[in-house]
Amino acid sequence: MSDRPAISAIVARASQVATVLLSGAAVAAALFIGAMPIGRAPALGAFLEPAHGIWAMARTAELPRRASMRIAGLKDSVAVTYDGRGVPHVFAQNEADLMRAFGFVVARDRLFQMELQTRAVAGTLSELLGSTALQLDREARAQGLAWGAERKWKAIPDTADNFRLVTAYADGVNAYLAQLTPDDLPFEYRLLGARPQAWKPQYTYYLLARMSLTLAWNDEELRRANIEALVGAKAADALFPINAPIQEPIQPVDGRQAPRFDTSPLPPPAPRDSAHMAIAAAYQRAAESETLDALRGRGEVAVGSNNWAVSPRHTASGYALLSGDPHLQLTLPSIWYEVHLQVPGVLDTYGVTIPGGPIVPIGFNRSMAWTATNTGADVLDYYDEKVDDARHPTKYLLDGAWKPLELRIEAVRGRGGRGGRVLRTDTIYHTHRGPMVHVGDRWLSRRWTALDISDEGRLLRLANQAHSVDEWMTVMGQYGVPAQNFLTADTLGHIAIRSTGHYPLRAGNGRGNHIIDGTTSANDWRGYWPVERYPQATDPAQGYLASNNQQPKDPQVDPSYMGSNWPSPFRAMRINKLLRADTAVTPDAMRRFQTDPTSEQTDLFVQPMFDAVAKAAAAGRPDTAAVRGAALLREWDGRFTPDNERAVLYDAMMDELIQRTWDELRGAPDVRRGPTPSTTVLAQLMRDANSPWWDDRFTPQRETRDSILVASIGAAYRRVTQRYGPPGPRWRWSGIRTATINHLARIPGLGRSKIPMPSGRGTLSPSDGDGSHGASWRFVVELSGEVHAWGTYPGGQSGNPVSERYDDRLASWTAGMLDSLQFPRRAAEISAPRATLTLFPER
Amino acid sequence: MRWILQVVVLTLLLAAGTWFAGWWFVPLASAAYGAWAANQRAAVLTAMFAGALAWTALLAYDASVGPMGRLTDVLTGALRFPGSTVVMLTVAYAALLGATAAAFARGARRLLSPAKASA
Repeated sequence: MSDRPAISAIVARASQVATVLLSGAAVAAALFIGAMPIGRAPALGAFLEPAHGIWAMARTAELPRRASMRIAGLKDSVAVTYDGRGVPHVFAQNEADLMRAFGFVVARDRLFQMELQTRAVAGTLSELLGSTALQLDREARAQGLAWGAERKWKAIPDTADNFRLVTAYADGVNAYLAQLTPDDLPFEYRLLGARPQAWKPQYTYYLLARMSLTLAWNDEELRRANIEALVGAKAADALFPINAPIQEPIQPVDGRQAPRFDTSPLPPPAPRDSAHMAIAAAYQRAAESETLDALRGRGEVAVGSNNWAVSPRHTASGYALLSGDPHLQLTLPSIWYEVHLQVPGVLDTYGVTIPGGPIVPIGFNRSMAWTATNTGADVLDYYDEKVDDARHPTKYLLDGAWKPLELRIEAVRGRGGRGGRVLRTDTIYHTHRGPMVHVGDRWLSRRWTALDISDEGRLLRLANQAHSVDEWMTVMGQYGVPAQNFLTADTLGHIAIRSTGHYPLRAGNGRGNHIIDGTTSANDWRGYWPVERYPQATDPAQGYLASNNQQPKDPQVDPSYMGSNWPSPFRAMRINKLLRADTAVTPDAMRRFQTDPTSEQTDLFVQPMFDAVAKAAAAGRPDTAAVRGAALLREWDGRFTPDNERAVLYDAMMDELIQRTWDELRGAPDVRRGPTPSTTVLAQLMRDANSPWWDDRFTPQRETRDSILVASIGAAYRRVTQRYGPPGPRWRWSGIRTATINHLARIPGLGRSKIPMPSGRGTLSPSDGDGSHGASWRFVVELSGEVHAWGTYPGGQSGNPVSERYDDRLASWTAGMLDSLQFPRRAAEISAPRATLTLFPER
Repeated sequence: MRWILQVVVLTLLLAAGTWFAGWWFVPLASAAYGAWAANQRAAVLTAMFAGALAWTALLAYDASVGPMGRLTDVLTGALRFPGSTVVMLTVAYAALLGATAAAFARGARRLLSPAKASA
């Protein structure tokens, strides 16, 4: 009996201990998930906490009406006024202060974007995103962009203006980072559980290198080797030609009012060439991967920048007009950041910048405007190198002697940066030409203008201050990479265009579209073209200038090799037609042209298809679906307008036609991916009704152009009705050609989807509908005494997805409208300012 | 009445502490409260309520000055579950921190000095 209290006390004690242990374990678990990230989920404590965690973003989504702060290095105060569209107008007293403030302001809106883009070049995305980015990092390091950018930065003397100004810009970014509170931390960092890294001045050059990758990467040699293996050298040359079969060049040809068509027949396909199959197989494998967009079987990637300028005598107002419409990958936040920069007597420039780059590559000042389309010239060559060891080379053969390879060791780390685990270590081998890549059983070195020492940042900065077309062109004569079709217009009424960039002087026939023997230095580049040889024109008799990525010069004028497989010139044909027809162009007409829904390619295919269907019907071989499809397409006005219910059928017909025609370039009948010649080459083939290319080698019978056309429209009709039902509202183009603009880091929910795209095959604003590419910035400038401008881009100024400035321009962009741009001389002239920021020097 | 007063005071303390110090203040202060109120049966419940209320109040403040609706929409997209769930998770997490910390401290106190704790 006496033991009972003791036992009961022991039980009570044990129960207490158990309670403490259980509650201890519970609190430890709660603290653990609060403090430690689990998998890809951030640490919950800091993330959920409503004072400074994710919820604080509601309080910091918009800019405070008034803010001021002191930042180190400023000599004078800088006034920043944000207009109603969220564009900062930065008024400084000297250039260094301007750059410091500019860096601060851009970081305030686009910090995560700046870091992500820099890391993409540096190959350090894995440190932020984890091992999912490992392959991207390895590719970036193999390309050597960061290596090249570091060389460029080191080559700039620290006494140079550009060094000083780029450093001031970096100081501005870091000044913003220094005062960044947990409340202001961008959304993406919170989600990733990361902190922003410090900004180095050379990161500006990383971003310029990234633009070179986007615009000047050209591995046509590898593609061509692949095609050559499949159909022979002659056919490869014809399918991916050096000269476009339809010539509507950038540099006008005197007296020519229409495009010139090459009507020569395509040489027939040759048997497969086993000697080239190794490299073809390696290339096909790469094409199957996610890294080579251009080969994903979509034919021509729907990228198409446009620009055009009109001389005063062809405009309603008597002032020169300029339109810029660069197409790039579309993301949120947008690639562009709009800004107005002013230092009295030095600079007064408005335009778009790449966050991280302290220059305005596309914009205008009080005297002139400038814009660009990509030239797409071949500025990258592959050399077949002979090495001493196929697996671990140390030397390469040059002019009969073994030369040592330079080695670059690249260690990709995982999350945690320098303290993170090494995920992979690669050795990159360099010859004197550049980094090597292992393709199949061959080692190829790359010679690429993007890795040369040059300083485009300095030139663009000086060009931003130019007072006339002449001055601008003189400054930009030294510009190297990426080659651009720079178009300018000034208030004096001059317009000019020049395909500007370093074009290699090559040995032999001067062509760079094949892999070159690397064992002799005789095959090395011998310099660059002189500027006077560049495609160019000033104040032409036709009264306008335009470029749309097409072949810049008609080879009848100058046969020099600049590249191959040029984008089809249908956009050029359309804008030239519109500009020829209008001798009193207005800014609003310029705007309408930007989203013009008509394509110049449709007539080349639709009428022959009508004829083929009619012939088949007359011969007693009617295909019901083809007859119905043709009848429906006869109702089409040829425009890709949002409410159009026939454009879908044309689109599907072209898809079928391309698939059926280029079967020789695919391995098997069910393979829909494969290299695809441009639509211009298809148009060339249309003129040869019995070419062997029309035969589908996967069928027993022999096809002709007409039978392929009938089969294509029949299949298109069946496909469209199967997917969208009978002709009706579900065929409406606005419901079919919709785009999704992804977030830069592809974070779901931060992109926008189902955006109707008023575009189609060959229209001025092309889109493949997946939103990967499109008009990244549209603007029109009237070069009157007081410059007027209008513009917009798909997105908004803020990188904060909670801000209304994140995507506030999307609606006007989708509708093809432009906002009026404020270009004040003083802050007080800004109507309805949204916010102000005053930056003071530190005491 | 005394219990309500304790909830109110602790709520204010946790809200202010979160604002000025961070999320970890909730378990810290709740543990201190649990140890102090070890003799009170409702101590754990009090800390749980106070934690939830403190963070609810802060969320209400955030909503009063910024686009909370847009923020929950963004979270819905980014996290692939309803943003309202994240709101509830936030409140629940504060309650969890408060309750577990208070329970642990109260239990430990009672274990180490049972006489004082039950006095």
